[in-house]
Amino acid sequence: MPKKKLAVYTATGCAACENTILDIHYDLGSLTRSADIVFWPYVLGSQWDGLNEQGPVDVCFFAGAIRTEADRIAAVRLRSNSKFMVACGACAAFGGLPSLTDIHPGTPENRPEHLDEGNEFLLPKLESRVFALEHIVDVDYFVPGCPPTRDFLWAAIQSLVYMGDSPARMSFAASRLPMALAESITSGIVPPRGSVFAGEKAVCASCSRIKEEKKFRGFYRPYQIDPDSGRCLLEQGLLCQGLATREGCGGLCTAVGAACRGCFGKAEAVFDPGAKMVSAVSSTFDSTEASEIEGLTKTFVDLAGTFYRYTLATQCALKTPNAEETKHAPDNS
Amino acid sequence: MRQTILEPLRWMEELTRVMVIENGGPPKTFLQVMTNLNLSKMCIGRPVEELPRILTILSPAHHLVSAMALDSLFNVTPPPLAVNMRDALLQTLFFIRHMRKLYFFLSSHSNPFEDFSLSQRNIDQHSVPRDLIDQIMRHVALAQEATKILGGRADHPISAVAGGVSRFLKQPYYDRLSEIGRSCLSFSIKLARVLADIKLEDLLYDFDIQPILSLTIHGNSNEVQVSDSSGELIYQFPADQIFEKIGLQQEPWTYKPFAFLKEKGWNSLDSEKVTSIYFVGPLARLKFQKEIEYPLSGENWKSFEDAFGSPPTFGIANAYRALQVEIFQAAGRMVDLYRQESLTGPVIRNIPTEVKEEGIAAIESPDGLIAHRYKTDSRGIVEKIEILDSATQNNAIKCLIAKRVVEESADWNHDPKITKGRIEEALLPF
Repeated sequence: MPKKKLAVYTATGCAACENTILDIHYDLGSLTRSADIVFWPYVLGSQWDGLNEQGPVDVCFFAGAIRTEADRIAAVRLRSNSKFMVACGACAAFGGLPSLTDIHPGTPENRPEHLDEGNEFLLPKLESRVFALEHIVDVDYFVPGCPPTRDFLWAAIQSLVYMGDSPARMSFAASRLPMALAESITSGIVPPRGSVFAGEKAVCASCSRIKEEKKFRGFYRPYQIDPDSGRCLLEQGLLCQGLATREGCGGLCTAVGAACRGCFGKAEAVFDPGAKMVSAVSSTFDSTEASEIEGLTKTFVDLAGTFYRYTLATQCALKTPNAEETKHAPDNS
Repeated sequence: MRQTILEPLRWMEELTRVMVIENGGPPKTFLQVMTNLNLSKMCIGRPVEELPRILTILSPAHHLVSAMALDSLFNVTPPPLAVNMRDALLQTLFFIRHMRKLYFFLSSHSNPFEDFSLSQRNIDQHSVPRDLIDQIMRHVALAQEATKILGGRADHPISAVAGGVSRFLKQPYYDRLSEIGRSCLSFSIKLARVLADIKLEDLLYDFDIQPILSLTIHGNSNEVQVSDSSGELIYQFPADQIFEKIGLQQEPWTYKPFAFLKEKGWNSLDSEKVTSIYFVGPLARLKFQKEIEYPLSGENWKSFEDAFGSPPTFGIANAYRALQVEIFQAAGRMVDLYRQESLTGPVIRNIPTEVKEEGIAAIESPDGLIAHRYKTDSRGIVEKIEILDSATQNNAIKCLIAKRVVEESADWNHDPKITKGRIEEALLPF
């Protein structure tokens, strides 16, 4: 069986997703038994002309958000060269932390002044806003998380790279995936396009904290209280987004006493994670007095930056870019 | 006019390229960072306590300095247990960061993902044993496990909060941390022995960089020390004045600003003598050390001293040696700090009772001095942030290094790939 060809690339973001792939290779299992990594600028220094010489790539793991013209061009080139395009990490899948720049209006861009003078030092232009990968090119699969957990990224690699050549590897991958996805890959079928390599339910389903009754008379900011170690953070008055967020991390943040901020994106059944959170929290106010409720709502700060911390570009119904924005040339005005 | 672009550079966490312009005279070289995160816009309007989680996008060490800036903003002192946990996490980050750099460097002459059989066939006299490279990354993975225990997550830790840390450790973690610490320490010693037999100068394009200042925070003094090229202290100032002393110059051809000492004023990088930019990081820190605390005996340190020269010159090979020295030290401190008594205590955090509206902190991160300053409104909502990130904003040094490689490679444009490789290797340890 010929070896698969892999590509790995990061646009605007950090190197955490790529470091996770490196960790997998050295700690969990060799990527290269069934695949050749033919394009990985961060580690191998691969150049674009080399990508053309290599011929079509089987699987491309694309991390990072689309923030500049160079990011967009990279996404288009890799898409056109790749059989499967995987949005790896929260930035590629949802816009991630970089999309927070689109919440706050009026702050001047950190952009050198002479960019538009046509001088020889031209930097890639900024896009009009931060885009997720799927806004620019067709995406086949998503591996969410900031960064993705090793288990799910490894499951994606096994499903798309090993594809039925090793039952042991397939069963390992299947044990980490939702049933429908697991059944397709164990049958040797390519997972349905658009599959998300993560759980289906909400983080609360896998969070080990004890949930009781959700009734609030007040909310706290994380610096204001030291929450009890075993109890649901939301029930202790901290805005934890676990109930709107796709599971898969196993409650990594909540296990450390930090509230979930939604880096896996919305759960399957949720339409808009911010709307879900507002609905869920407001239905738990332990009061029917209008003035009391008004006082309670004043304790909230920056709900948009909290509930769409990683997902503003794709999952906020009010901010989703239209077709014109995604297709047009970059706006640097 | 001829323009050559060497891109993308390996091992840079942001998309970076080198542009060389030839117009009759000597070539002009520009190191361009092409990614623009715009952190201010990302952070303004956020509740300030969220910044340690957001700013880890820069590097895990920024999580820690951000939490310290919150301590200052909320005027709260973390308990000893939290201080130790944060320090244990920081030392682990040193170990990981430097080990990854060594991995990149040692595997740079071959494809680390090539079939083992092929790579053995193609081995040349300067190649490093493949098994050693694999072991480096296995120990990085081990240390990553420790950061997950201490920080909650490996690459983007979350456990440091205003006034302390967010959780106690459970019993099994103490045992696991001890195992990890011992393993990392014994491997760092083994690595030093193997590398002692390899002449770094044979593996890379080594050169010394012009005499230049260095900036470090020494020990627990919380004073930023400015020293000259021989390591002699010129002056020092309190870390909370860092943003008054260091300016950021934005040039039109790169998205990253250049950090410089305001007192000396900004010099163009084309100047004959650049006086306002400075070194940070392992080699700058090493200048202050008379001997290594862990775990090298005087005899072992002597062999390093001989290789470094006295005082250590600011050269590329020495920058890699400095990484090795800091790996031992970090591993030694990890063993000390991972002990149960260091990571046990009655209190993990002190709850803040006031918001001062300004918080500032600076630490030595693996890549060098980093600092954060936040200004907030009375509710603790961020109005302004200032970040000094030595790893990237100190790229004036990196520009000079790239320029030097191009200037010294007479045949650079005959095979730009070789020049690109030399630049990458020269930039990696800084």
